[in-house]
Amino acid sequence: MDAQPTELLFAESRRIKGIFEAMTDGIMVVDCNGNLLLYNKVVEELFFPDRQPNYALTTYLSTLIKQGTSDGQAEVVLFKPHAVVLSNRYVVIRDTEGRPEGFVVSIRNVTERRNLDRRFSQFFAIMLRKEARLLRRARRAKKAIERRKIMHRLTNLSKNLVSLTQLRGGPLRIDKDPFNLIDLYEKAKAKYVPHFTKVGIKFQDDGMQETSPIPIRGHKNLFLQVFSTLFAKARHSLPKGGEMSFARTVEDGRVKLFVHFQGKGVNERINALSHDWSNQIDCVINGDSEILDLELAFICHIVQAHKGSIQFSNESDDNAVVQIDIPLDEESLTPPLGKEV
Amino acid sequence: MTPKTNCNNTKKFSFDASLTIPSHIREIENVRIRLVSLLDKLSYPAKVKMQIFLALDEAMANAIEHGNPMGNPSIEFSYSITEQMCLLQVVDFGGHTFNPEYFEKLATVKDWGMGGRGIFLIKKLMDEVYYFFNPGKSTTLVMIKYPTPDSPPSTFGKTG
Repeated sequence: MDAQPTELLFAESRRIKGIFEAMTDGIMVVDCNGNLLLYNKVVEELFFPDRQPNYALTTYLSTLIKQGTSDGQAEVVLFKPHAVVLSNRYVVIRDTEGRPEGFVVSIRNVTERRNLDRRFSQFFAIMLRKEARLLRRARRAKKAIERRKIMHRLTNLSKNLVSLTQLRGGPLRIDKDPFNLIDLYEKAKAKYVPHFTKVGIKFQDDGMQETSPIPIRGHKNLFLQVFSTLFAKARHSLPKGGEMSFARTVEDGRVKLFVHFQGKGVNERINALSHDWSNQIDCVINGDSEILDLELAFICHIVQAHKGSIQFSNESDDNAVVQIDIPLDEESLTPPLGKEV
Repeated sequence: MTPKTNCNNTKKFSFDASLTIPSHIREIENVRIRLVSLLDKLSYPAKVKMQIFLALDEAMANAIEHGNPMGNPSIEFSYSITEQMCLLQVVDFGGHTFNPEYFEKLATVKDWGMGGRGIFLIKKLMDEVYYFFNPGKSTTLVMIKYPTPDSPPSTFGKTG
């Protein structure tokens, strides 16, 4: 008769252990002598990368038990051989009479965050210096056309800094509404394609000409920005005689868009690193490049906010393919009940 | 059954000796003298000894120079030396958090002044290097050197 409650208790205990193991922060409980009582697998991964034995944890624990305060935070740099920075918080647990029983420690790997922060600060400093230089030039400029050019560069610089701040801020928070993706595509196409003929760029979208709509749930204006960016990219990256084409496939509840760019040297503007804004910043900081082009990085950010993915590839120097994969709106796919006549 | 992991093998670490020493450059020599006889007794190779002393000089010089606020002119030095490994710990009470990687990179490009190469050398010469920052209170530097290139022992630390 007692077996059932015991089994339930075991099941509950397994569930709690599962949650403990699934935590993304390392959690450990340490007694007052510095002995490890409980830990999850993140602790093991952080202190023993590649399962290699070392003294990082044991020496960390011996410094932890020396702390004289009931809670606090510390930073640990496992400099060699790990090369990671950990941010730690600890709290002392006490028995009913208030005597310390041990420590509960949470640990987070902040290596990437630190690198990002440092890179961002360096870049910001470079941009501010550039801006000051441009402002000086604008003040000295005698011709209106020269002043306008400088102001244009200053505007781009400010735009880049705003975009960068958004990209660094993490995933976009968006309001989602249902819409037909094809409507937005047609809207952007109507705006940009007439200019293509003027500059000698060929355009074809036979692969988009199916009549069925593509129901998406997302942010309309942001998706319009995705298409506008791709069209604008073609206009600025393709030489005379270049070609842009769109195609689509729908399967397994997802739509795939294929955007092909064909033209000499297009791989320099659109490639696998185009969406990696941190790589672009590195290039600017190292002096390898003066141009920061965040447009593709930003559309990548938009697509990811819609639970989609984006890939950039080059089959040759004269070719670039952007592949966007987005989930369809499931509610639109399921016909509402009781409407059949 | 508890799975066999490196964490399971981790025991509390106790140092063989721990000294509080005045925060003055001349103390480095005294610490050196203390270690020489120990390392000789355990037959550490000359090259390894030289590397340990060089790293120790740099670590102590950094602690004395940068981790010496008014009111606490001392640093703490602890060590454990066995045939398998030499573990040194230097604690200063400046409580400044810094990025060791920055100073390591700086040392590779810096061509002015004398300073800036300590962290670079410590990393180069020692097998394991850890910094534990307790902001506003202390900075602990742990350095480990294995006399032979063999991997470290399977159990880390010793109960004391």
